[in-house]
Amino acid sequence: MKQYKQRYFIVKLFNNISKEDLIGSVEDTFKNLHGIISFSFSKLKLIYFDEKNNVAVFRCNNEFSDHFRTSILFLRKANVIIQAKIELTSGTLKKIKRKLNMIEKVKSGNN
Amino acid sequence: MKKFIDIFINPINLEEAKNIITTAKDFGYSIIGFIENENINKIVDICKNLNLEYVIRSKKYSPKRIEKIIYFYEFSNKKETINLVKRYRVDIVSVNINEIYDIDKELINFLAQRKTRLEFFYSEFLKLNFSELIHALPKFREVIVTCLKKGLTPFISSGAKSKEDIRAPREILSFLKCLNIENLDKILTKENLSSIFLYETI
Repeated sequence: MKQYKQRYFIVKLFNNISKEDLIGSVEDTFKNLHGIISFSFSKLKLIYFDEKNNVAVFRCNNEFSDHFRTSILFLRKANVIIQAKIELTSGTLKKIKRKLNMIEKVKSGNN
Repeated sequence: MKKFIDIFINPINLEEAKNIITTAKDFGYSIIGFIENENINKIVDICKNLNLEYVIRSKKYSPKRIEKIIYFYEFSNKKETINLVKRYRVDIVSVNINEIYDIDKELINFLAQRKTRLEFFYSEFLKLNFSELIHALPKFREVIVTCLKKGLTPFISSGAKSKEDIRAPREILSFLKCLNIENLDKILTKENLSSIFLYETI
């Protein structure tokens, strides 16, 4: 069976949103834009969410990274548009963790 | 590294202009474009302070090429557009999402001969609901693909009225890739803008 490579995305959100709402919004937007079959094959998953800093980490199959990016572009929760930006993409968690530590340090430095 | 462009921001006041330009820089844009108005010098200063390049959009059509000025026209109907592009040198014809259905091959052929590009605003797409998107996307794709076939790389700008309308260029490119549009190398980059100034110099 073919093993697809994973891609990790750090997503910065510019609106306050809860973890449940974020998962729901990304799933709904993805399904509306690309369909349920693409969604199931993408294996999209939220693996980290920092509600304080509005930063999330998603993982999906590399083949569907453009689908995920488009979902982030059109992200909305009950017709309210959510502004978000992909800060970093990586094939490994190591880089992602390093970037998250940097974000944490910058935030704690500002406070 | 690619330099991404957003050649149309449309702020309602100076404060909003500052917010939009700062956000655009954070999102990875290197060149910003805005319409000539009474605040032009202040907006240029904001860009300079943030180390951003800029272009000014003008409707004061002139046969002379002036540095950093691009001449644009807001599409209203096909006949008027053809008449205006025949009379003046127009670099860009901006098309609102509602008017996209009036763009046909004949118009694109005519614009390609004159090296006049089409421009679309992604912020309008973001505001459509999914059923409106279903109708708009096939036509949008058809127009973009026809333009690219004619060697006329269109511009995709934000048309942002506020900082919430700005999105990252990589996400826009992914959106176009999902529409099966190929040859996207130049579409959001400085290279596309530079080609306006290349074919005719002062």
